[in-house]
Amino acid sequence: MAKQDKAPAAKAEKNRHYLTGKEIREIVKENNKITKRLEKKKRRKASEAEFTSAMKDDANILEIEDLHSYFFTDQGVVKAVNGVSFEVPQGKTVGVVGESGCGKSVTSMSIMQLLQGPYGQIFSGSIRFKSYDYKLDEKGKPIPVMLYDEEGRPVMEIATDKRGHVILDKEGMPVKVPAQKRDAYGTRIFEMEEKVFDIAQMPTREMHRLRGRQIAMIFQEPMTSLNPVFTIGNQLDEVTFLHFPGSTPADAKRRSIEMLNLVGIAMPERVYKSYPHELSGGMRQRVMISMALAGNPRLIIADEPTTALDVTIQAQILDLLRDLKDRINGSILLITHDLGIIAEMCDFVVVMYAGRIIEKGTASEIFHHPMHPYTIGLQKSKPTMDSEGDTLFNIPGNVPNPIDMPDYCYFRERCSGCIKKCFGDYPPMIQVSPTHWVACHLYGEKEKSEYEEQ
Amino acid sequence: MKNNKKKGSSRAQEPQIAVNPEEERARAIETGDFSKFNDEAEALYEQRLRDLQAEADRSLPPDPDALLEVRHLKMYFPLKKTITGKVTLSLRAVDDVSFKLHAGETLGIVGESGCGKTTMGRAILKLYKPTGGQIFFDGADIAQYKSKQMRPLRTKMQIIFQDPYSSLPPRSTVGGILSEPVKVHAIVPKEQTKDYVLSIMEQCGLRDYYYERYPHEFSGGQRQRICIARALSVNPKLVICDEPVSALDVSIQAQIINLLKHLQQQRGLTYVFISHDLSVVKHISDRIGVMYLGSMVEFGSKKSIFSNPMHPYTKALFSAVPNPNPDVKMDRIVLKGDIPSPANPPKGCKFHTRCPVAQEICKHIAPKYREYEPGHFVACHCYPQEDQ
Repeated sequence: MAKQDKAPAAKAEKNRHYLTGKEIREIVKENNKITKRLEKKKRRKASEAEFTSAMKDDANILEIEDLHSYFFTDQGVVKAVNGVSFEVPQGKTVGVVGESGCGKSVTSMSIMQLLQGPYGQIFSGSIRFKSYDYKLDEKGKPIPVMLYDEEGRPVMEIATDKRGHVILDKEGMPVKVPAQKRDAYGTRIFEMEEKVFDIAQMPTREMHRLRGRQIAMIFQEPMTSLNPVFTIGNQLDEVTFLHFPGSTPADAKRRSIEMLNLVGIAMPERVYKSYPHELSGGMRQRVMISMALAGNPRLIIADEPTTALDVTIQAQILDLLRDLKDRINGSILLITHDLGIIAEMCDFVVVMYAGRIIEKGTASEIFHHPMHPYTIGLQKSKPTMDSEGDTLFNIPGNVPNPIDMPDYCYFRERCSGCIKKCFGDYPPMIQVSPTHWVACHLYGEKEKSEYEEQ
Repeated sequence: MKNNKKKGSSRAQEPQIAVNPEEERARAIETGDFSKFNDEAEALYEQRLRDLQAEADRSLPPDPDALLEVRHLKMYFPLKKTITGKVTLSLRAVDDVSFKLHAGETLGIVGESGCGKTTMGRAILKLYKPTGGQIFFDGADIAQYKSKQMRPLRTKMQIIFQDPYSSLPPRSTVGGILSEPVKVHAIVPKEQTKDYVLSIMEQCGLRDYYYERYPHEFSGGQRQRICIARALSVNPKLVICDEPVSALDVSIQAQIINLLKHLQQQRGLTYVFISHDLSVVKHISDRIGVMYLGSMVEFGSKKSIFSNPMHPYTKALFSAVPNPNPDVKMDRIVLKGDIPSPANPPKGCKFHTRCPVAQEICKHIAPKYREYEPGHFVACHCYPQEDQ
């Protein structure tokens, strides 16, 4: 009798750490079904209407709504991003902060559709991005903006081929063509139009229009993101060739050197010719930033841009990013685990924990009135330059296992302010001010009504 | 051909040492005119001065209060050798570093990457053979000890590495990892080993059933606890913590820092805490040393360094730390450029290429490492170089 009682308990205990071959096969079968469907969706040929959408608020450049990004592993589904919603307003910096494994990088990868398929997939939700793209004619070609003189006649210029050689007609005279308008960097200007795309519905083929051109990404480790066998110039020129139709090598070089100048590299001509290994860490990160800027993006995603750098170099790079944001009139989505950087750089802050947003608000709300126990703990546990005292506040325990997440609040086991309600469902997002949201039972109806009275 | 050229140049240098640079030096410092100044002769002259100083200090007895005393420690790595094996160019990872550390205290070492802080930590443990200088541990100069002589001392000094993911052997269990040093050094009788290891594990916040588990089953914070337990299992006096929390998340960092502090109070440990994170160093240290390109530029108690940072590099380093308060706008000193290569450090003061207050003298003459307040050492031309 006693033996029988023991057996199921032992089995349950065993199940938590170990999966039988049969179970794994079942999981794999199920995963294959889902990933095949999602991969097919990414490869499909779709008309533009299928993934065109509309913004909820026109001041935003990016709106993420109820995003779910999953990894289908043989051990089960890892819900790396589990229902995330936030917005990036035009011209503002939004910081995403959280510990490793909280899904902040996966969110940024989802925006770029860079999740490693077929295991990593955007499962559901929408990512609406306001793109500023070339207007296309019936043949699918961008429409150039021509240069006119004061009397309204088109300005003519001597035609050159891609290598910069003058094209001659049969009589040996140079061919003249109407001149196209160029911007300050000498890049040709085309007619543009504003469109809103839903990245979650976009096929990969169409995504190439956005990547690098509209949304650029700065990665954490500059050495591994630069190609070691090509010169910096070669890699920078590629951006111009890909995203600016009709650019010649001379145009590309001019633009690349301008971009290197923009990020404060002292000898851009020399850096243009050198290889990534010849540069220091800070210089490489500057090159990465210039590469991100080369496509004239409206949104820059900086995924831990300074984690691999020293504190003095970090200060330089942060200064640069802040300065550039104003100059190019873009928005920055800054992903980092350092609260200090967030405080210095960001207008809005999103705090993530185990794949969900637990708190979001403006920087001063998050730093002066943090509400979620995790945000409070995170701020208290970081020693600062002004802090005194012997022991640091610490949040006990670890992040829960991502494969089988509990259905109650993920933070319950580590939380010091647990109430009865915490043993129920996962808390919903509660609005405590027009911009401040928190997912915690401590700020339920009572708190909300108090706020409304004020 | 290349070799001949090298020889020629070294021969050409020798007569320059013979001319007395002291007069020229005094004149240049007096007038501020460095146009005729020979930087190479100055470098050799400084080298000779420092060697003489090191030789003079060699006979001094060690400070009886200090657990660890490092004098003129040098750690050079050869970069180029002639065919006969003579080193012609070396990377001066640690160049003439001196400090004292009392038992039960924590020394925080800060600096950028490549400034030699890790090398210094390892050289103190004799994991590298120091090129020169003395290391007094418990009153004995261990700098010239052979590895056999070092062996009994290994129980007294231990190290915790930065990356807990690569510093634990993947094929042995936690019990195996922790009991190996206990067995090798015969800390307790054989039959008590397991009980002893379990007690150490408990002190480090590890549950007893982790004994049979493998490192890959643990998260970063737990692994760092295993590393700490491994270091403590031989009852050391001195523990060198080489960036122990840099690879960890903020909430786990706090746990590990609290554990280290708790263990220090319990066991009277002495730490050399190497980190690039100033706020962490400030929290844990009693004394702080700031390193730049292999040299100590400032050294002092935490209080004096933080209330009165003297070296421009220390000031810049402090102001570069991001402040987690969105309303405070700091007047930040942003250093220009990158840290120079330690294989070819700048002449004169090594920091002059990035220094916001560099003068003409800084480009040619290295400042002296002097004590300006009791226990507060600085090497900078901004402060008087001679006694008045």
